[in-house]
Amino acid sequence: MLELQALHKTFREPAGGDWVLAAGLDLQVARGETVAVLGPSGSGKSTLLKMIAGLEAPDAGRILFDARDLTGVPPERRGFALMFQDFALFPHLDVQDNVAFGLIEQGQRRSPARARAREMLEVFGLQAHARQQVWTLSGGEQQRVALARALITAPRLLLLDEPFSALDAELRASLRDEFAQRIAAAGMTTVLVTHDAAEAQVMAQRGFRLVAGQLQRLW
Amino acid sequence: MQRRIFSFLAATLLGTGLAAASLNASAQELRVLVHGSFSLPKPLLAKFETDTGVKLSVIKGGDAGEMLNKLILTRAQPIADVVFGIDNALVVKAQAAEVLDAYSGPAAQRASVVPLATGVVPVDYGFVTLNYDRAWFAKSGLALPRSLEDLTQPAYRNLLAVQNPATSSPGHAFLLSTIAGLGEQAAFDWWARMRANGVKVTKGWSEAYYTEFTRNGGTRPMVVSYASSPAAEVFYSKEKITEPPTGSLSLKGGVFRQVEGVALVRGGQQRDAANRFIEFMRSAPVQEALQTSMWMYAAEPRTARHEVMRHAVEPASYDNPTTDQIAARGADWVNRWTGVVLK
Amino acid sequence: MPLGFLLLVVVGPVLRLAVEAWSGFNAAAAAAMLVDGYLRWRLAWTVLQAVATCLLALLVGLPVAWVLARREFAGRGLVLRLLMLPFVVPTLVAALGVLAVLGPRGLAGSCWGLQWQDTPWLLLYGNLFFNLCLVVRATVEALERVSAARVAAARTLGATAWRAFWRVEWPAILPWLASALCLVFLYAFSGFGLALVLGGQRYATIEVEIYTLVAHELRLAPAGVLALAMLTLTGLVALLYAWVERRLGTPARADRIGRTRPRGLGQWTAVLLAVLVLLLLCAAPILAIIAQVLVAGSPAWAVLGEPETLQALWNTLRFTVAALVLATLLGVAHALVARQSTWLRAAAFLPFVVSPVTVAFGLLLLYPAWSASLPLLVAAYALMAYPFVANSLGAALDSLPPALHQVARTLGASPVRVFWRVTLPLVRPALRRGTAFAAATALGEFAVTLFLSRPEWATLTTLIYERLGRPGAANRDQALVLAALLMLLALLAFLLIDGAGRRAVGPVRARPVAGLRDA
Repeated sequence: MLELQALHKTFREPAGGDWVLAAGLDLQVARGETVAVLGPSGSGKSTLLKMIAGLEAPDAGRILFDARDLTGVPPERRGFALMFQDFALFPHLDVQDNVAFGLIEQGQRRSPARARAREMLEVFGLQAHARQQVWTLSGGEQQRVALARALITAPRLLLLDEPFSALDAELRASLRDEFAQRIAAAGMTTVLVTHDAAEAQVMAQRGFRLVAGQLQRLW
Repeated sequence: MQRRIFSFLAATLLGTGLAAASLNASAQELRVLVHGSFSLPKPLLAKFETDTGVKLSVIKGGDAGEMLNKLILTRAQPIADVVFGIDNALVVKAQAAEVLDAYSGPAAQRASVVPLATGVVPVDYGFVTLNYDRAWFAKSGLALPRSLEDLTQPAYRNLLAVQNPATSSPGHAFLLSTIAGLGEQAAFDWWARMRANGVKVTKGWSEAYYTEFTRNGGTRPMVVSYASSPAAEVFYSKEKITEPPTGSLSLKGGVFRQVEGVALVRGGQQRDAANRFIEFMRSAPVQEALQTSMWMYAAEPRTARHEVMRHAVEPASYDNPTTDQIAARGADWVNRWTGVVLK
Repeated sequence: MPLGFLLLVVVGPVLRLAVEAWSGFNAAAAAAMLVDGYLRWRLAWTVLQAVATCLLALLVGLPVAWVLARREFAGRGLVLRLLMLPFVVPTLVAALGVLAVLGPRGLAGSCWGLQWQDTPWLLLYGNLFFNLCLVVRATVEALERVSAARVAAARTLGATAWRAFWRVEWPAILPWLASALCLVFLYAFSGFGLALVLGGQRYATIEVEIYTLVAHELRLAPAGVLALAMLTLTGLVALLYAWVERRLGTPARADRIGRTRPRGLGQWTAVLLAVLVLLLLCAAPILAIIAQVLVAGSPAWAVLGEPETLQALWNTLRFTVAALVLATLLGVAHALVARQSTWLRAAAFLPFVVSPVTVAFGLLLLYPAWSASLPLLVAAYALMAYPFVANSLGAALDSLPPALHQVARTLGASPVRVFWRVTLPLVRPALRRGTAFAAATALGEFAVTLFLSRPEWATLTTLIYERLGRPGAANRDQALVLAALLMLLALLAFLLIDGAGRRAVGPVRARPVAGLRDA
């Protein structure tokens, strides 16, 4: 279970003036639950995810997972997977090496990791692309590869940062359903950040709006 | 990737090893700083090395002025033990900068054909003067100029090449002689008129002589050079000739007597070998050889004059400012020259 | 660590020179210098020739770049690759090449009686040889990033092709152009080798003047004042450059304007003209050297066997290798450290800003015990070379999306592992490119060697310069042969390190370094 306690984060704008991202923000996410955080672009939702992932430090407050304080734990040891709007696939690795990346970091040797990656790609129906360069795939395919890459490492928490914003509307709908299915099948605890209310409704059990540094419960 | 890392490491080690090796190399070595025109037959130098048991490291320091500057700049940790090429235009500057140690051995005690300064042993002397291309003048029918003033006439437009006194020793010498011969103000007036009359300025003697001189394919039949250059022409010509193709002009204000010497560098090592080197430079074999390798006259009296040097007639008179005047005003003169001629 | 090095090797000597200048400084003397007509004229000329080079490079380079970016024709790829060649050519070789074309005994002289000695055009030609290619490459790069959608929108809104260029493409490429032109100005302004050989007596720049003042006249105070003046000016431009560069580090867009085959006589003429211009300005000097070398007699070729040459060759090689190792380490360290700060980034250009002449003399003054020592020489070489590594790497690091690092971290990689598995492979092309240019720079290093080296450490460049200073056609031909050898070495080093044919790495392209050098 993820718990955010009294998080504070303020950004100092280079142009002057401070911008409050989080002011005493609290959140709890139960195991296997999907929670959505809504808000217009630029309201700092991505930064919230980065703080959870450990890529940014809050000014004050704590982040706990399964009652263990994660302050000071570097991102690579938190076991949280982060997915981006622009897919963030490694351009110098082919599809299967992208998927195998996390496994190799976990200590697996290259050949078995690649084999497992291929299995994962089969589950997604992408095995034909295993040796291709990532930029030859369509947007939807790339995002699915990104999900495969994230799920294969069996993360404790999945963080989705506007995962479908870069895709067209039709694709968005079908991908959204597929992702919701896979996440539920894996029993993954998930925090989804998006500006699309419909998408949030379909994928999440609870929804919040980030406003003035606080989370307002929507449903 | 691994191989590249390995080869880089190997290269670093190699580099460091070489550096270390070179730092040890100066064990038994006499460092001689010379200007770019220094030249002595290799057998002579080799004999010196075997006689003294010391290896000679000849460091060419560029133009004589450059060479002295290097010495001054590095006086805290000198780059040489003995220096050849300090001439009468530079000696006061050298002594003022305290980069030389006085030598008082036999060579300094002996008389010399020309004086230099206490502690610096004269080795050779020469005359900076104008050279002209005989063939060109014969063909054009133009009369040779009889004074510096003639050169400012329209008839002699675009016919002279000189060197920049800031970067060239003979160029500097020529400037000094115009000042001594004509008087400072008149000299600079002359230079201003020469600029208007198309005088060509080059960086160094080589450029003026080998590129601009009509004898070598250029466009200027008159250059600032040495009184001994015609002799060199005879010596080096491919066919045997008896008359030099060039001649030297002795005009009032256009002849400078240059005396070169060898001296100990203050703070240098190998003092013993350095002393012997100075003696070596005034020894008969060297004094005879330098006539045809450096094209200067010997400072040691009673040196046999080489046969070809009969084409290098010593000018009857010359115009040198005193060494003190040169030390006091030299820089200003060069500065003023630059403003008058180059701007 | 790189800052420490910079401090020792650059700031130190500069301060020492400043002290020298200050001690001889008094208001009257400085005022006299400012009023001194000769020096003002020299400074004015130095600025003028740099500005003229910028303008010429822009006026000629922009149309050529446009043709290369928008038209498809056979050999286009080859032309683009060959545009890199002038970067690899050492300055002294380029100077000789210009002389071989338009010098007193150049090809143009013997064919058409045309020679430019003692004119300012010789120096400008030399400047253009290097800098035109820089501008063309940067502009082609920029033009390829213009969004097709925007241009199409402009056309449908009623703009003619010319107006669309002026109102859409031109503003889009302006930052890239500005960056390239800053660099052109810096090179032309503080260059030494070209000005020394091609400037002659009348058209040399302040750098040559400083060299003359220090080496020939030992007037350190005025030299110091001049050096400081140059430093200020180039410092300002370098800051400007660093600022512009920072703003360029955005990842490439996807919608590029496609190239079309030329249609009609007009367009084909444009293509031919562009290629011709490049040939004349960028290829001619090199071709002239090769041509004159091929017809030179055997005495000229015999120079390759002389022990002096072999020693110089050995020196060149070992100095270059040692300097390259040092430069690579420094460059990587600096690039990593300088990611956040414009000041640090500008510091990478300190070696460009402080001319090699100033650095060498400052070193001579500050470290007299080491002035003729190998480590100092190699350090000075590395100083001149490492900005290429730092700059290239910095640009590549800038264009990496931060998301890649973040994802890698969440997938379990520690920062070191992220660097090893993600950053390094992605910046490797830029690193190789930067190192290749660093190697070419070290091979062609001239000014520093002129001052700091011992005669037994003569390199190929000093040997060439020495031959050039000696009289006669034989010596000149030998100089040309040596120059051809040096050029070959530089080319070889470049190909070896950078590799022929890069593997394109998708939409995240490390931006090729637009900058180059002078020594």
